[in-house]
Amino acid sequence: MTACIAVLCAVLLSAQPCGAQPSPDETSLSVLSYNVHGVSRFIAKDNPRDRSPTIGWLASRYDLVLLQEDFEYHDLIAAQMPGRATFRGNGVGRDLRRVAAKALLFPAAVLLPRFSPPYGAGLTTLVDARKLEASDPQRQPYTACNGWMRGRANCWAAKGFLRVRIRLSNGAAVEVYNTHLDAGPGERSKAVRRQQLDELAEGIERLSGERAVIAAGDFNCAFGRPGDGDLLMSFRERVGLDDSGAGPELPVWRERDYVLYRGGPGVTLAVDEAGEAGEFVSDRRALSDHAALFVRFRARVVP
Amino acid sequence: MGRFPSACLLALVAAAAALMGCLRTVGPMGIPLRTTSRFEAEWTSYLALPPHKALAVAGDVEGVYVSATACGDPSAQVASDRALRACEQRRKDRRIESGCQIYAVDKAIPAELPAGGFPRR
Repeated sequence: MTACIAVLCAVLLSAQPCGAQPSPDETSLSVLSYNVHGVSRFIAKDNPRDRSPTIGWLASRYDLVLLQEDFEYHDLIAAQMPGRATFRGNGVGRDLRRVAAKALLFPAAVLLPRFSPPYGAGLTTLVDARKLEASDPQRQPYTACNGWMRGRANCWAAKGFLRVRIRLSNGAAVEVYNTHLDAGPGERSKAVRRQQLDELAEGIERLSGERAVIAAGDFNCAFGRPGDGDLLMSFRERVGLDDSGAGPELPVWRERDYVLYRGGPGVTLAVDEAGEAGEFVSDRRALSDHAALFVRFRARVVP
Repeated sequence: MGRFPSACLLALVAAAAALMGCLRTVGPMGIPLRTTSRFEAEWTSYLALPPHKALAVAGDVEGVYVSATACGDPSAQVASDRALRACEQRRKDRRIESGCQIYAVDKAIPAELPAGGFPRR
């Protein structure tokens, strides 16, 4: 009996290191995509100032964090994430309507704390610089939007995409796209989303060629809604992206956010785990009006 | 600086401080979760769609599930097939084991499902 236990222990001890240590060509990458609803408290249903530091603190556990709508509280979130390379999306730009709105609202922006609409893209990508190299950010605003006063007032933000190139510890290079598309169930909103997805696909083709890609964010596409599913599938097929499977797990969330990915020459990406990051919800309250999605990728360098 | 500007400055600072104080949230942090479920919202939207239409679902609508709708089709059968096909596509993405099933065709809910209720699988 003692001999059996000794043999079993020897087998377990000898087997454990093999199972625990990944191959040097392989590394993991944890990704968080989160629309943080960081609009002014006069627009939000609460005071985002209170929850923003908590969002940053919780998000700091992930290697790669893609935020949307961090318009007014970017500093409070980023302050909780030291050691990160931080990249922000495009600004308001030169659209005459947004420039005029900015000028009109300037007095309010001076008087009211954290009130500065219209906004830029509201995108931020934070990369853990201890684990990953990040370089070559590219920002592009979308050319169309739908609604200033009607619809979902999408035009108050110059939505677009942000591309950041990252290199993992095993040398694998991945192009990371963070985006936020127009919201709304109407036909005009869908037409704008179609155009924005075309521009994103064109951007991926132009900037990344065949390379490995992670494209995540608030796509505002409800797969179950007629038309939206087709839009998303057409986009995915055009640039060869798979869905990571990350999605909302609480029944109250709407399905709007996605984490899509593909491998590329010399790099394979596989999903180890994907879902809703439940730590952003507690006691029937959430730190945003969107589900936080996470994916743990396994990236492998292949000859 | 004279007495009047100092008083003005003091008043401005006091007003700003009061405003900031008012802006602080009292109560628990965060946004209350919605009270209506995603499936309830999808069902309401589905009812407004033009016939022929179908709604397919896989998973647990009180937890992780996927759904797909088809509408404006020449027949109920075509709508059902299209909804099922789209649902299956999404089901694979979300790695849901149970297959897609038709929840509703036009306004009829198949008999084996609780009428007016939601499937729990």
